[in-house]
Amino acid sequence: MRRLSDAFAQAFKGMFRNGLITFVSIFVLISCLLFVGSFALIALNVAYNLEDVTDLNEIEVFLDFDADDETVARVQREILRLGNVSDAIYVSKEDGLDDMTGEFADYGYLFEDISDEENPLSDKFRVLYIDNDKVTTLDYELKQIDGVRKVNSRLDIAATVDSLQNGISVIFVWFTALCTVVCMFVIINTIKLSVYSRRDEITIMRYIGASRTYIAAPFVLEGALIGVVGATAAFFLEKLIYSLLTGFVTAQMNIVKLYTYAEMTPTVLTVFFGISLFTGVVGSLISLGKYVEA
Amino acid sequence: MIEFKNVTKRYPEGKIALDNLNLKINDGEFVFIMGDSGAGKTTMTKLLLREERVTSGELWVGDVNLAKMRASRIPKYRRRIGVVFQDFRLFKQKTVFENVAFALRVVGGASAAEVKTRVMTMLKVVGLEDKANNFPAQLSGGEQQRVALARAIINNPHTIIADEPTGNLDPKLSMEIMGLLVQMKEYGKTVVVVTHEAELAKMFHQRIVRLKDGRLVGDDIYGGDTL
Ligand SMILES: Nc1ncnc2c1ncn2[C@@H]1O[C@H](COP(=O)(O)OP(=O)(O)OP(=O)(O)O)[C@@H](O)[C@H]1O
Ligand SMILES: [Mg+2]
Repeated sequence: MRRLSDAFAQAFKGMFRNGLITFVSIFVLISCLLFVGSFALIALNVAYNLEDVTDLNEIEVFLDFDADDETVARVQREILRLGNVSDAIYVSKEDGLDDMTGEFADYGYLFEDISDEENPLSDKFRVLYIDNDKVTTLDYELKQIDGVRKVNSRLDIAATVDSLQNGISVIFVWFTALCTVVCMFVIINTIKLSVYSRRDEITIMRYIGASRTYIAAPFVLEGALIGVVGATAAFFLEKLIYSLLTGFVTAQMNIVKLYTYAEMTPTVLTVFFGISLFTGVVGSLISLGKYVEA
Repeated sequence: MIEFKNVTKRYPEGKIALDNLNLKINDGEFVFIMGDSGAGKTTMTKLLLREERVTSGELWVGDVNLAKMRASRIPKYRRRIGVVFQDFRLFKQKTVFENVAFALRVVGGASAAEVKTRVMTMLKVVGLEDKANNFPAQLSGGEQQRVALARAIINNPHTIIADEPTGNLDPKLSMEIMGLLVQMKEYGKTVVVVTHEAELAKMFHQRIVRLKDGRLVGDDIYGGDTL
C-alpha cells in the first residue's frame, strides 16, 4: 500500500514538474479525442438514420399485366409458403393508381384522364418479411414464382447503405489509429522528460536493487493520469459539443432521429478511456526504455 | 566467495577491458583493486554488479554464475550487494535518514518502526546518528560518503563494492572512510575496494590485487611500508 501511494505521489509530482508539457500533452489528447469522438457520434447517427431505409422489411412483387384473380390467389399462396415471409398484402392496379395519385397530388392532372382500362400499372403484392439478412434469397425465390413480372427488393439501396457504412467504419478506424499515434508520440515525449529529470534517482534505485515494476510504476501512473484527465475533460467537452450540434440539427430538420448523449455515453467512455489509457500506459513504458533495463 | 574464471570483457566498440582474468576472493575477505587508469578496475565492479555482462568466462558470486544469470533476477541479486561510489550518489532533496531508509523501502517489507531502528543503527555504525535530519549539502564529503556506506549496508549485504570511495576526499577523510570499509570485514562482509591511492592502501595491511591493461599483474598482502 505504502509503495502504491508513493508511486502516486511521484506520478503527481512528475505531472507538475513538467507543468507546461503535461498541459500540452493533455491538450493534444483532448483535441484528438474530440476529433475521433465527434466523428464517431456523427457516423453513429448517420447509421442510425440509414437503418430506417433498409429496415422497411418490405418487397414489392409485381404480377404479369394480364394476371387474373386465380393467378393472384395462387401467387399469394406461394408467397406465403416461403420462409422469412410474414405477410403478402394485395394491392390491385386500381389501388396502385389511387396511391400514386395521392402521392403526387400536385400533379393530379396527369392521372385524371387515365381510365381503368388504360391503367399502366400491374397488380402487386407488398411482401413483408422478417429477416433482413436473408433478403437476397427471398428476392430470388420470389422471382421464381410463375406469374411474377418484377421484384422490387431495394437490394440496391441496401448495398449502397452497406458500403456507406463500411466506408464510414474504415475512416473511423483510420482516424482512431492516427489519433492514437499522435497521442502516443506526445505522451512518450512528456514521460521521457519526466524520466530524464529523475535519471539519477533511477540509477540509484537500480543499484539498490529496486524491481523494474517499482521503478516504472510512477511513470506509468503519470502516463495513465494524463490519460484519465484528458479522457474525462474530453467526455464533458464532447457532451457540450454534442448538445450544440444536436440542437442545431433538430432545429433544421426535424425528421432526423438522433441518439441522446446518455445513450452514447458507454460508447464515448469506452473509446475515450480506451485510447487515452492505452497511449498513456504504453507510451510511458516506451519512454522508460533502457532506463528500466538492468 | 567471488571467483573470476577466465573472464574476458570486451565492450561493443571492440576495446578489451578485461583479458582472461582469474581471481578468487573468499568470504569475509578484504581486497583492494589497484591499477592505472583504464586498467579495467571499474569494469570489474560493473561485472560484479551485473551492470555489464562478461563476454566470456564465468563469474561466480556465491552460488550464482553472473554470466548465466537471467536479467529478471538482477534486482534481487543487487539487494545482497552494497555499493559505494566516488561521487556518493545521494538524493539531494532527502535527509540523511531518508537516504538510508530509501534502500530499505525499495526492498519493502519493513514496518515504519523497523525502518527507524535499522536506519539509526546503521547511522551509528558510520558515526552519523546526530546528522539524521541533515541534508547532504549540509555535510562534509566524508560524511556524505558515510551516509552512502550506511545505505550500502542497510540491507545486510554479503558483499560491499566500492569504486574509488575516497576519490573526492582529502587524506584525513579518506583514512576515515577506508577505516570504516576495512571494519566491515569484522561484520563478516566481503569487501572489494577499487582505489588508485597506493600509499593509502598500504596502510591497511590488506590484500592488494593489481591490474594492468585488463590483466592480473600482482596479488599480495602488504605489511606496512615494504616495497
Ligand atoms: N562503456 C564502455 N564502452 C566502451 N569502452 C569502455 C566502456 N567502459 C570502459 N571502457 C574501456 O575499458 C577500459 C577499462 O575501463 P575501466 O573503466 O574499467 O578502467 P578503470 O581501471 O576503472 O580506469 P579509471 O582508473 O580511469 O577509472 C578503458 O580502456 C575504457 O576506455
Ligand atoms: Mg574507474
